[in-house]
Amino acid sequence: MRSPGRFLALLALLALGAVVASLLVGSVPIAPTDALAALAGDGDEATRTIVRDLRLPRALLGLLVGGALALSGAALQALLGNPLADPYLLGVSGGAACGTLAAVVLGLGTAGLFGSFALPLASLAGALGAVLLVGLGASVGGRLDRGRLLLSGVVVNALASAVLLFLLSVGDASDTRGFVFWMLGSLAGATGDAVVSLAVYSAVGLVVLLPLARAFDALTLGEETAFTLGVSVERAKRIAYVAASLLAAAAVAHAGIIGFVGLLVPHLVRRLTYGHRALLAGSFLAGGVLLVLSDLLARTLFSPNEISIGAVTALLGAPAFLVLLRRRA
Amino acid sequence: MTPLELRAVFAGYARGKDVLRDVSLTFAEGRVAALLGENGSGKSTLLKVLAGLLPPSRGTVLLRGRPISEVPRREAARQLGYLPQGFEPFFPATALDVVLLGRTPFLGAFSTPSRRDIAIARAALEEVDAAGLEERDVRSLSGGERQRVYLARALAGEPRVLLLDEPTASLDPRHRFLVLDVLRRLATRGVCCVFSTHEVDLAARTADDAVLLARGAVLGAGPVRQSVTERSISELFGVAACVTPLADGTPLVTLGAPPAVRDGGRG
Repeated sequence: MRSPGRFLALLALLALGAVVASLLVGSVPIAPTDALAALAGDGDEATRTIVRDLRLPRALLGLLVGGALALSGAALQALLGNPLADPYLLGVSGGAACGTLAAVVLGLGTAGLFGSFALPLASLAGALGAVLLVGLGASVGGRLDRGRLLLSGVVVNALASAVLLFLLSVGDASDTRGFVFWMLGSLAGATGDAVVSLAVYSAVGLVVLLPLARAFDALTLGEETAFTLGVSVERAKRIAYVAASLLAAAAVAHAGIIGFVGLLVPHLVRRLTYGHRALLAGSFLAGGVLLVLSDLLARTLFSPNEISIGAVTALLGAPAFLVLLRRRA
Repeated sequence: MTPLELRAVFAGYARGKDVLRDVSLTFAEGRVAALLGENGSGKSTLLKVLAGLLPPSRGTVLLRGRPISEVPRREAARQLGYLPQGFEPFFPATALDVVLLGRTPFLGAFSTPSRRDIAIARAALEEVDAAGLEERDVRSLSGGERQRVYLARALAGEPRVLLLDEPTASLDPRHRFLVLDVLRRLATRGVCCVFSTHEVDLAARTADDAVLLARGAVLGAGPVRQSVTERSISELFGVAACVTPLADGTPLVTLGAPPAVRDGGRG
């Protein structure tokens, strides 16, 4: 019970299974042997393109985006001492949306190759700007105040909505249509570069957050008790804040605003295991599984049309969350 | 060496607004000290200063002769246990999980609790009559049960100094006595216990020493038999107090007894 090894191994297997499934299933079904051949660089060209250039990056990006969002949510919930905290609470989504839309309105999005680099960068810049603003509002004498952090996040998100509406009203409708699709979340733009970039963010996130697991455990007893248990409370909170924000910002930059993963997954994992070591690692894996499977649904349910993955996670997540809430009482 | 000492301490939560004013106290090994005072008199603040949670604006706190701010956090955590007032848990955890968190200062970042840690945690639960709650989710416990589990958490760190903020609040009479018995037992093992309470009668019978706090200043401190008197208690709480020495000399305190009844009555 106290050793999370088996639980994590099971989740890793599930993640592998989800990736394999998303390689095989789609508007063009591919047999396992053909997929293997394509991965190895053999087989016909069309299959190779579908497996290696389209489905594999997409599945891996899904794994990483879901993992980053869920890990971010788990860290944020530990930081705020609130199991209902969501990574977007701290202004990441609003800031990222503002940054991206500003770039679109300025015409950076249509500049070909440049655009595919500029938009994620603009998104990341917007998210980090918002996070800084939230942090500024929540600092009291150099300390991050849990209560103020929530309020500050709500206010900055509201500000971001206002800026967003303003930009939408001044922008050219033909430019902003693509933005609305992005905002609903999509893995359609998955590339090898995006996978590498998010893999780096996720790895750094895990390396930084996992050693704090014991501190997060102690923080569940309140900041004062954690302090008297020898935990460097302010340090743990600051690292969690920066890491959670960066993870969510990187995920949003590459896949738009996909809701519910960061909120729901840690909640779910917490019911299956105890302790933040298992929770952080388990959330990362389970978030990946959830997103890869959601993406599979998003592109097959109304194939060949694709629905937004954000709509899928919300349609699955909201009822699931309500059920969890009812059971908890 | 004196486990815990305050020298001319001023402390508060906002600049220029000290809650504690010029407090100098020593707490001895193997003794139980009770902090007595009205609401807002500074009992919790004093405990926070003693735990190192609230740095004094002036004066020093000495943990075994060293300024507490200079003792590494982990080392201080191994010596000092602190039980805050009621805390509402938000995350699922069994009582045993919570008590095991008391072993945090002894665990590495990646090590799991050893068999010994688990044995210590179980013994702590046993000590507060909560062994049966081991697998229960702390969120489903009653206020009094949770209070005992949290006390077990503080005991699991095997502290040499134990600071408790109203440990008997929300407990039924039997468990109130049980918790005070735990403090007495710890004292015989040399632990220095300091607890705040409003239950003057219990405090007077359990504690070796009493500290009387009024508006952030020490009104009196010392062995219970000398510091807990009708005059000091009625002055402290603003109600009539009746103190009767029991056979062994410990004072029996009754609050609010009208003087007429004490003097033999009028019928």
